[in-house]
Amino acid sequence: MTRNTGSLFDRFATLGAAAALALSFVAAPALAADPARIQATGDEATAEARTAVRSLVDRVLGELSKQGVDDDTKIKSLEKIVFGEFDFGTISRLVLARNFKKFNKEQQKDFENEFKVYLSRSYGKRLLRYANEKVDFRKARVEKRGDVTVMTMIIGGAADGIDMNYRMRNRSRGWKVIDVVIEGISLISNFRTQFKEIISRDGPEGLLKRLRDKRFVAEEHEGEAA
Amino acid sequence: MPRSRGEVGHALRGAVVLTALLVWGCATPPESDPWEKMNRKTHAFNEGLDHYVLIPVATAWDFVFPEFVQTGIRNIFDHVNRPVIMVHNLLQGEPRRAHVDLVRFVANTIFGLGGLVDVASMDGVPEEDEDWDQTLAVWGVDSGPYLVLPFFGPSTPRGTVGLAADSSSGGYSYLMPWWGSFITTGTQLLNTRAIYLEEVEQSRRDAFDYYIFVRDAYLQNRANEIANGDVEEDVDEDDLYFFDDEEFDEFEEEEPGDSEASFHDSSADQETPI
Repeated sequence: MTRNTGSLFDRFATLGAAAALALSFVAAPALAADPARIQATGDEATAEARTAVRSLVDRVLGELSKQGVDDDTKIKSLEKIVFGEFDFGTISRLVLARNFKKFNKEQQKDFENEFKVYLSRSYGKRLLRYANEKVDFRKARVEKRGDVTVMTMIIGGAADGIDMNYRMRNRSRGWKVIDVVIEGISLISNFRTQFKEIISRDGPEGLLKRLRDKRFVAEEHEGEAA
Repeated sequence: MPRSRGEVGHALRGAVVLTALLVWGCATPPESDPWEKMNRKTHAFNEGLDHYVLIPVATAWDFVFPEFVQTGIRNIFDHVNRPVIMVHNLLQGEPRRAHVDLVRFVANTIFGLGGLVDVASMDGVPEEDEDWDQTLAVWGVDSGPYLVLPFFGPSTPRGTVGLAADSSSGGYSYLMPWWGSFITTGTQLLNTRAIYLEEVEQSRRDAFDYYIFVRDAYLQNRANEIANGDVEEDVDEDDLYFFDDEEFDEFEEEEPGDSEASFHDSSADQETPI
């Protein structure tokens, strides 16, 4: 009797395992990002925007995985790639929002440059920590007034499973990144909220000063690390 | 004689829920942050705690355990919590996502050494976390204003209720003695903190106002998780990416490297993205 129960249990276990196995093989690919679906939703715009993000990501990953190149040179090359593919004019305006009008032309240009330098210092160093990650392209979606959101996910490493979406806008010089949304957190929204308070308290010059101070702090920190 | 875990959990949950309901007040949009003054104080307290207690211990942890061990530990915690997430997806009327959780749980149990390796993720099965805060949100419960909890960090009244409910409905907590959950919670906390040591340190250094940075990130991230990463064009969208009262026609054709910001008033009356 004991043997019978055992074999019955065995049989159930085998059956269960087989079913689960079949289930996971059948279901997993179906539930994963389906390339056919991406094609279906993608008219010309989403296809173009995806191609732009893919080329950007490939170039960045290619740079990151280069051997025997020191960090400073890598950051310089990354800057070159990112400065070409991000539309910093639009990003600056969106980050400042209604406060943009409070800046005169010179201050607007100043802000754009300082913010660019700040972002490159802040995110350039972060990027260097990632080299072996893969980027999985998910669906792309047409937004209001022709923008496209290209959705990606980071696979592997400490940032495994992190959603990274690129908001793309069609410019005269091609599709450019105007926002990066990581796990739902928009770069533009986050800086806009932080800057709003500084501007209302200290005005445009106050914000520009804070940005320059950050640059100084970053350099000091790099000095310490070296 | 120690009180049973269930009793402690019950009493704690009751207290937290009551407190949350008392301070909830009327429905306030989270952006306004009416409790900012108190929140900033709690935030400062948490920062001190992180600085003097959590970071030193997490640094030691990070030194002792290599990255793949930390990833493994994270995977196991995610794995044992998967059935709970599945139930939440059912409660939220998302049977398809619940099915994904089932597949993920089974796949990782069989092929991932009992959850140590997240093989489902390698297969591209999307991973979404679910908890009571999200389920309550799906049921239409308002979050209330932003609230920083001592020890637990960013939250809202709804998040506080959710947190209390989560702690007493964890899948594996019933399999352990009452003190077991302190060890697992502590392990999970330390491991997570160790994984993000550098990221947090850098965010803190780079932020212009770290309190606002965290608040904005928390609220956006929650909204995203509640919508399961599919935040469609919402009301804020227009505000975030466009201005209707501005015309930026001239700017759009500007070439990179052109140092003159050509920002002219235009008489065109159609809506134009900047």
